[in-house]
Amino acid sequence: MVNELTRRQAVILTATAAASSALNIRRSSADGAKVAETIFHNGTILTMVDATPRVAAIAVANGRIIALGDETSVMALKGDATTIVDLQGATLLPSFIDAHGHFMNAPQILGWVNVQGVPAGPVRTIPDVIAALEAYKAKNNPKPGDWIIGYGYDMTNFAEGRNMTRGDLDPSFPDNPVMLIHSSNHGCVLNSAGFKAVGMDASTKTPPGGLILREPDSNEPAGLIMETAFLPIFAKMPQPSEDEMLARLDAAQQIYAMKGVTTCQEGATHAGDLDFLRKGAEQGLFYLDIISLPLFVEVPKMVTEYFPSFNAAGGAVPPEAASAFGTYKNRLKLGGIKFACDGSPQGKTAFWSKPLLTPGPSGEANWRGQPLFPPELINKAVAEAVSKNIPVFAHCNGDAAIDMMIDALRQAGVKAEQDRRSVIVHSQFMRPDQLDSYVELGITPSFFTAHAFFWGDIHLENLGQERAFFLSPMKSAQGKGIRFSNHNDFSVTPLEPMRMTQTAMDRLSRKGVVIGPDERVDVWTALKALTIDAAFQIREEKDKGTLETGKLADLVILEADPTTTDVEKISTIEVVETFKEGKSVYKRKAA
Amino acid sequence: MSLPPFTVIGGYLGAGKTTLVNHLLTAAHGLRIAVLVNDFGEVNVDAALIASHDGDTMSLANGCMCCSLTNGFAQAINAVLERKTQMDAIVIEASGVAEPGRIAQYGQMYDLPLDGVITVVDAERIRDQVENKYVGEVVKHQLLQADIILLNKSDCVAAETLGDVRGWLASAAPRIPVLETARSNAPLDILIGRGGSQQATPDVPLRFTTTTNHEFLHQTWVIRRNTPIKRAAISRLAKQMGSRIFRAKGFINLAEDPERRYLLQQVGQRWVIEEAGLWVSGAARTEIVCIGPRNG
Ligand SMILES: [Zn+2]
Repeated sequence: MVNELTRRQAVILTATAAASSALNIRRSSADGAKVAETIFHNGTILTMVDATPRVAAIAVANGRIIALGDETSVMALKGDATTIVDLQGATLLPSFIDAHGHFMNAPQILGWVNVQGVPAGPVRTIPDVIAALEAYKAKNNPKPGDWIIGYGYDMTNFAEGRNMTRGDLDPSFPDNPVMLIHSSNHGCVLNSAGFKAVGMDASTKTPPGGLILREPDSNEPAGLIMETAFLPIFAKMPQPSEDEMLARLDAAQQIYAMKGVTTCQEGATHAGDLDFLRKGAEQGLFYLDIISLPLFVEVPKMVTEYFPSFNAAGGAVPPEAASAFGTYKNRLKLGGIKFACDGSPQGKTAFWSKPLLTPGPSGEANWRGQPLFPPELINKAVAEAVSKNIPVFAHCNGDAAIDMMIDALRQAGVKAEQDRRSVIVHSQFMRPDQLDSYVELGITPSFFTAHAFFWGDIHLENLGQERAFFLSPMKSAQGKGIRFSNHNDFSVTPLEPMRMTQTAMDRLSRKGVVIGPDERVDVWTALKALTIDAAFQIREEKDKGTLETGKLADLVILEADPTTTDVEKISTIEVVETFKEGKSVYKRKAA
Repeated sequence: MSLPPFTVIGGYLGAGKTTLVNHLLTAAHGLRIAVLVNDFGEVNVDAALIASHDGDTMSLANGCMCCSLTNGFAQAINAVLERKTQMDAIVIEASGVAEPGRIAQYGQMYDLPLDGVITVVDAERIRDQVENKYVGEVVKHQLLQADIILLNKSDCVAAETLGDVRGWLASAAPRIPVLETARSNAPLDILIGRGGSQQATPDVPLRFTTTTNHEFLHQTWVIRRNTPIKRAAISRLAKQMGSRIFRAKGFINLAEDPERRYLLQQVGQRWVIEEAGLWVSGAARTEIVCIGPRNG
């Protein structure tokens, strides 16, 4: 059924492409440059423009697209110095926009070892974890006593079906403390050197609300510690210095560029993070665009810091601060203020109107989660942002959290005609009636269809079919004329635009259940959620998201055309090269 | 090494937690209290009292300090624990939608003895708040997790309404002692238990410093017994006292171990009995000081 749908879609697309190649080329008359710096041709070029989805060639100069259309007319712009890029059958399209993620996690995890399960990481067995850690050790040569930190530990990934113990780690890592951070970020496994470093031993009491697994027949910690036993230890871990973090910004941007993403989001910025990003921008270290969304609870602190004479009590924002939003400065843009109404559905900390079918995170009966903030606080801060014309981005996973934000926006006087494009990030477990409120208020959701793959089976168990199947309801939203983006919430899930495309189309869980067959969308819609509709959401649709004359030459070359690839193979399509404003920022090494 | 006791102040937004925090930081009570707060901006301390202000930490001339929770509990508590020997008590202001019972576990991550959970309630709005579709459940949990409830803003409602709220609370949060306050003006002896055995000087009987005061709706009294009491009888007594006292503390002459002195500390329905050294010869007798609501 999925394949049939896609093939039909592909046929339609090919037909439209044939029709469009007969159209005139669109050449910029405003742009003086009549000679191309680069011309791309001899492949599939997807414009992401509905009326003219395919062209034969595209010309770029001064960081922008100067022409596109048929081969002859574009080649007419070729000068002596023009580089001709032969796509050799590969597919060129607008590069992707990270509609929601956490850029600051990129420099952080660069110092860590990925021990996530396949496909987010390399792990299927316990020896795979050891191998990943050993590879890091061989490459980085840590001194005795230096921490080796892995992230994404989860025993459910192991064929062995058990937790790791210090005994698994000690033989390979006798001199380095090792910490494997649990995928929930609420616990870790330590080796013996690690326990010694944090001062935990047989005499350590297990604090209330915590867990310290002990060795059989003794009180010695075995390896795994969770919750209140873990949090104080994690808070005291050595942090990389600012200089180390700045030095990692290139590698951090490569995480994005290698996946064809050229606009990155720092989607929950603390005051200290903003200082860091501003420093990176001032030093000219960004070659991709970074959008920062300061957290609403930190706004008073930032206002006090940047506008010391302004009284920031009650979350007020001075007009000068409001005007700092919406424009790039050295590739850093303040995109809006970030609100958060609840936690995560897989952690059962999202806020629903009806209880889960399974117990809460601490075994609570009739658990439906809780709001993160009192609605009065959210309402007031949303009203302040709206009155200053600052875009609102709100993290809401459960339907009760979504209700809170709908209420806040409505109370702030928001209406669709005002075109504010308030973003409800995740909009994960909506109720169908809430889509009407989105239309009424002009809310645009950023969905998270990779959830169907990563946690779909768990959602089905916790929420039952009706609610689980309405996860990230793209098709229903489309039916109401709502524009939406799709995101990975990096580093919650790895940055993978092609998996986003595939999961939006097939919504297949790990166990092979289609999580909501009625909410699957076609490939074109799935790609628009990463390009033009994501650009619309951040108010950059005039510069980004489609291939049209005058727009930025933010481009990606994929090895295969997702519109004609079998759905189940889309997530494996690799990026060949990525361009930011005409300049190559990533090129795949020749095999 | 003895660690300062840990008190949690819970309650919904607007109930008066911040007023209570200001009161703890600045009232002339002679205790050095570290308070961890959610919103630094709301803490309204007279500039003349501020000894130093360094980012997320503010030190007051009276020995108290205030730390912001914006960067998380761990960071704030570490700042306080650096000065733990200079602090008599640690108080955390839970966020308006937090469950204070969960926050109480935070202190125990650091081995801090839990002194009590105080939930502040807005007499005027509590009935609406428990019906609210977003926060109603949390507000109910805040009541049920309290050792002591402060029925605050009692001066803002008519006597009849106050009576209604009191009656309603007795069924919504059964057996939890309730103290009526106007501007979070609860006496310190009720808010903070002032430590355990570590701070009890061997030969001085323990006393609450506040005596019956007509301004407040509470009183203190003493239970004395010259003959040793069985542990089971003490537990029965503590259980009985539960809803009728805010706090009780005192030394016990335990029948099972008459050589040694035991310290009872109780807040609301929760109590601990711990060993506290040997009796000075001839001094063995039970003396428990109670502080509770004034009857009529
Ligand atoms: Zn996120």
